Amino acid sequence: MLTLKNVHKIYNKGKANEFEALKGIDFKIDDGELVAIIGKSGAGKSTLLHILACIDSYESGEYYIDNILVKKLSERKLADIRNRKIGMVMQDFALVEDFSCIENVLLPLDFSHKKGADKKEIAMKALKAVEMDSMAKKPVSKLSGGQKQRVAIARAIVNKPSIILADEPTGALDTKTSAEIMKLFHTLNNQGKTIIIVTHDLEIAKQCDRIIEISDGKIV
Amino acid sequence: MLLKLGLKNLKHNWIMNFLITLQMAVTYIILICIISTITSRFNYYTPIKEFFNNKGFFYNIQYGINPDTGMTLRCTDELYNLIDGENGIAAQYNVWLDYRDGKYDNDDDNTFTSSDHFISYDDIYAAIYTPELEAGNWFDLESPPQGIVPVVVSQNNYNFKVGEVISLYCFDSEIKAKIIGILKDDTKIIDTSFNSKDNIDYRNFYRNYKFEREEKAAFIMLQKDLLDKDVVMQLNGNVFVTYPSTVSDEVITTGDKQMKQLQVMCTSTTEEMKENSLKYIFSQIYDLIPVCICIIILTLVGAISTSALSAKYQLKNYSIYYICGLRWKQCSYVNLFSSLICVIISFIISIAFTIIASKTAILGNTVIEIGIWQISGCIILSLLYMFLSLLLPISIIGRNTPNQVLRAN
Repeated sequence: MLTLKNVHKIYNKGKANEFEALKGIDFKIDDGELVAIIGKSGAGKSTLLHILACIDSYESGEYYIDNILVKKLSERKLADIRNRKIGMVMQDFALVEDFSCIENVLLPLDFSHKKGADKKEIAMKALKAVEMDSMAKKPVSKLSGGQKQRVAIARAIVNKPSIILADEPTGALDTKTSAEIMKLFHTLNNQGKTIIIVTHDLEIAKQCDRIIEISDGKIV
Repeated sequence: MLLKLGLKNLKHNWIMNFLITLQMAVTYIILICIISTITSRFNYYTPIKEFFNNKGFFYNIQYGINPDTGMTLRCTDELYNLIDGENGIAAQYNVWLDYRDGKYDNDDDNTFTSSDHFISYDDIYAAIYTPELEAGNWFDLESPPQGIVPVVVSQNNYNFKVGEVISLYCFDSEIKAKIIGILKDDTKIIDTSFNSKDNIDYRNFYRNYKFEREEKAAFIMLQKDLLDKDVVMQLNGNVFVTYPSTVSDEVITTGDKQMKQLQVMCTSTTEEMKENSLKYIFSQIYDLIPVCICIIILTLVGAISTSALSAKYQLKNYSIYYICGLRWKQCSYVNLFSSLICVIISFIISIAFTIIASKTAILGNTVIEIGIWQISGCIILSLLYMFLSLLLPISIIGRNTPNQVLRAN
């Protein structure tokens, strides 16, 4: 369960170009929900997602993941949350281009310091779940946009996180591929994962259980 | 894990890393050459530095004849008898021996000729300095004199093998000698040098023995092994005469006068010789220091720019590692491990090259060897490189947040 209470985010605080991106965000997302966050460009939706992903900080307010106050966590604990609890999918795929598909999927497993487990086998299962197992050894740079996003999803789910955050996951894809990716998210949601998708595409948002609209840093 | 990522980083940016490794390897080799050049000076200075702790003289003598008896000065004991005062003497001698190799034509006259150069050292000379050997061993000073005389030979035309027993002749008297070692060609031995006679320093104590130039083989023996043999020996070459501090200057001056009755080619006080030696060594070091500093600066500038480029190039990947669960600080260690691997590979390359170069002389007369000073120099350079390889990426990574990098991409 994710809970935000009166969260404020200010960029360039104290400088001439100070800008408040989030102005008191409050919401709660229950386990197993499929939520879309929508809004215009610059509304603050990506900032919000980055805060939810523990890759950005906030000035005031409270953010809880499963009733744990994130602000109080050490850098090590936050890294652990990013690694085990949250899977992240980005618009530009955020894959290491020089690595192969399996090398990319192995990254969270390697960082989790799991011992004894057959990491390659787990990574292959994740790739199979997104139908990319046949291309495991192919360099990411040789893949199409849709294939890259599948690999990114495989990497996001490989550590079996309970939350998947997607920042414009279909933004760089054509309609057909977007539909395939959304189908994957639905499958994952049906498996019990909480999925939050930031998008400006209403058609994508409509496929979600709930829509949170942000405008000018506030929920509307 | 970070090491694994460092390796992957190396693999995927192999051209850049290959160039860094090559640059480092060349730098190590140049550094090893410079340090070898400096230490080689000390290598030849160190054996005789003990003589410089006392008052005394260095002499180069040609044909030492006892002025009182008109006989050749045969051994160090005879020299002790010649000079007054409680002194320490170390000397070398010519031995009237000949290796006939079946070519000897005994013309029955009373003159002795030899086509080779026979030298005997007293125990002090044999102990303080061991020339470079191509095969076999240097003398075992603990071993008592035996019937067969151990001998170390220079390069020669006789095809001697280590362990071979040969016959040497002094007129008609034969002695048996066993080859125990063969000198490397062009190695330094204790003998009259070609160095300046005016400004005597440690170089006057050694001669580069190159067979092609000398056109005769050198046979080196121990004086003690020859004393009970029927051979003629004559004081010839380098002699150190030193005195304890308790001996008066008057006695020392008298001793010097007595020595100068011999056929002295050149002489110097130990104090002057020490001063000249250190002056020469340090002049060499001062010549090399600017080169050394330039190399270090070039390497460090190279290290700064390449690690900065690498860190910048890797910044997006680091932000990806970050969202996958790596801490931002840890990302700079990935760079460090890449640098560490480059350093290790280039160090191995440079050591391998040094070993090959020292064995095959592919660098001609350039002194190159591996020792504690060379390794220490390389370690210091590596640490500096590693420090900068960590420092710059930390500052680049520190100036960005993963969030900024992700947004920028």
